[in-house]
Amino acid sequence: MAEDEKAGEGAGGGAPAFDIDFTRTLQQFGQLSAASVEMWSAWRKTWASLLQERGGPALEATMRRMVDPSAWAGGDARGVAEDLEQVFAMPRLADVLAVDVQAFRILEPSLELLRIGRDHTMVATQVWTEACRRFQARLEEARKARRRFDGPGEVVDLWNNIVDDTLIEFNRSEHFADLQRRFVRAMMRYRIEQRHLAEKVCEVYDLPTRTEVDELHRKVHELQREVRRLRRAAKAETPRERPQRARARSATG
Amino acid sequence: MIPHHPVDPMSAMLELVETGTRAANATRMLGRVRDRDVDVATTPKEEVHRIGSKVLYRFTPQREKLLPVPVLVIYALVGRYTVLDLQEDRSFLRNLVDGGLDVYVVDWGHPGRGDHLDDLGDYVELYLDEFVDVICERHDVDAINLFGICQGGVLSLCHAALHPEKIRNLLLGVTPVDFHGDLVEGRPGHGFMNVWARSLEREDIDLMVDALGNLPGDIGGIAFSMMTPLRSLTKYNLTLVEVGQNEAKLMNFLRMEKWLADRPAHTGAAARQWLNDLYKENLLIKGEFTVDGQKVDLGNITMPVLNIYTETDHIIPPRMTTALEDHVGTEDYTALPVKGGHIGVFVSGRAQKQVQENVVDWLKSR
Repeated sequence: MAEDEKAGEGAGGGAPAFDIDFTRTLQQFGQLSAASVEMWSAWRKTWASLLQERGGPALEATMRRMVDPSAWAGGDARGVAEDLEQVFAMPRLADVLAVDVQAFRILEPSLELLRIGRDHTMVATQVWTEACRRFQARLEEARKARRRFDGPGEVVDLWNNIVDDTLIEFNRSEHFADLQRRFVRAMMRYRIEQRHLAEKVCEVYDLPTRTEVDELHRKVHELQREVRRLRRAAKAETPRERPQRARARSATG
Repeated sequence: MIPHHPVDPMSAMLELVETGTRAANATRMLGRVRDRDVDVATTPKEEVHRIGSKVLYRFTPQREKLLPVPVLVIYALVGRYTVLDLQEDRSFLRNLVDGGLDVYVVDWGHPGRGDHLDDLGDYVELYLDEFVDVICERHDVDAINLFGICQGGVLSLCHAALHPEKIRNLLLGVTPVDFHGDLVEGRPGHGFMNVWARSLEREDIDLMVDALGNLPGDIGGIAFSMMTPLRSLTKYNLTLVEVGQNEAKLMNFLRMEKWLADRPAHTGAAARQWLNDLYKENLLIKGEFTVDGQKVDLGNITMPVLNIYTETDHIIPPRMTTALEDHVGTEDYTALPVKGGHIGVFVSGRAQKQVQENVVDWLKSR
């Protein structure tokens, strides 16, 4: 074929075999390239806009909390974790590294514990103030009645009894019960989230986790119960003998 | 402004000096005592059976046996049995042995995380029932005397209801039966554990167990401290100075401290039932409490029952205990009120003597 083309060139007097308009081709290529860039740019802008929309307000709210300690102690603790989740908890893509938003969950109970500590301090201050008020009132009564105390010991006893009564009253109040419920919930959730983080580390180093060991315990425990049922069934089938038995049976635990 | 109150300044100064001297005495005495000097549970005994960390002991008889049927004493899961043998000259268990009884006791030990699935059914049907069988075999008897104290009384009630043929006489000490009995009494300062447990939702208790596995003994310790706030606040200042003036009193105080510090955890599964089914739902008295899949019917308790309680018990208010009379199936029921507090019944010399005499007489007559 190459030889035919060469022959053709020779026969046609040097005219080219293909009529290519390079200028036009280059223009078309340029247009296509520009369209492609525009398309990618639009896609990038869409993503940027999505991220901005998704994370911007949350990030702003988080930053606002971070620079305001009173908000950390007194704000809505749940909000912080939710804000962080809003920023980082993208839908899972199989081949893209993802942020484990579970790690943020520990923030929520931590902040709640801070709030409970603050609330308890406020309530405890009121309780001790009330104890002081009652003590002063009793001293005033004694003064008006011109009653003499045997000595400082009796006054200390008076104070102690007032404190005891006041604290018992508080410990049995709905106010205290509410604080206690909140404390138990926050503390236990904190503990569970802490364990979750520790187990992540254990997995990295191939160490057994609490959850795995608990599962083993569960299986052993179920087997123990099964053995007990079988032993009891076997015993029920064997009539009890009255002659002297061994001093002790072997341990089963 | 604090009003002027009539206290003689000279007597106040003298009292201050005296208090300083007493504090110095107590500190000096405390400084001489080592932990190993504070011995508890010294009554001679031998291990006769073991299931894991749960041990059955038999106390060495000190005199000829008055009764052929042995007594098995069961204490709470949340406290060590050693409180029943706290000091040599005031030991509840030693007194029973000296009274001519053949005494066994179960040491529940300290459950570990691996035991967290042990529920009250396991304690009754797996452990307690096996210990009862072991004693029956050793003594060649069909039934023994079971003496349950506090939470151990609840385990004993469950066992006696499920296996009445194995229990000849049932003795109970400060045992809760009606877990809402404190509401009937309504005495402030009494039944704080009831108020505490009821203030939690079932989900809160489940959450605690899910998070911790077992409920640590410290949680019980905190609850007990809140029950008597002043005593807790003044224990290591006023009380210690007071008892520190006398070596015997100081040693008694330290033995009690040692026992308190030795508080076992409550296995998670047992704690769920104890707090949810009993303290919150009060299922035992309703006849709806189940262990190991079996309903505990107190009406099955047809053997003689001696129920010991104290009017001044602030942990288990008396109504929680005395309610038993209306629910057991026996016609031989005796309630024995004793002076003292919940723990005092078993550590105070006077109360111990009263309990020992009554228990021995009651058993002898049956």
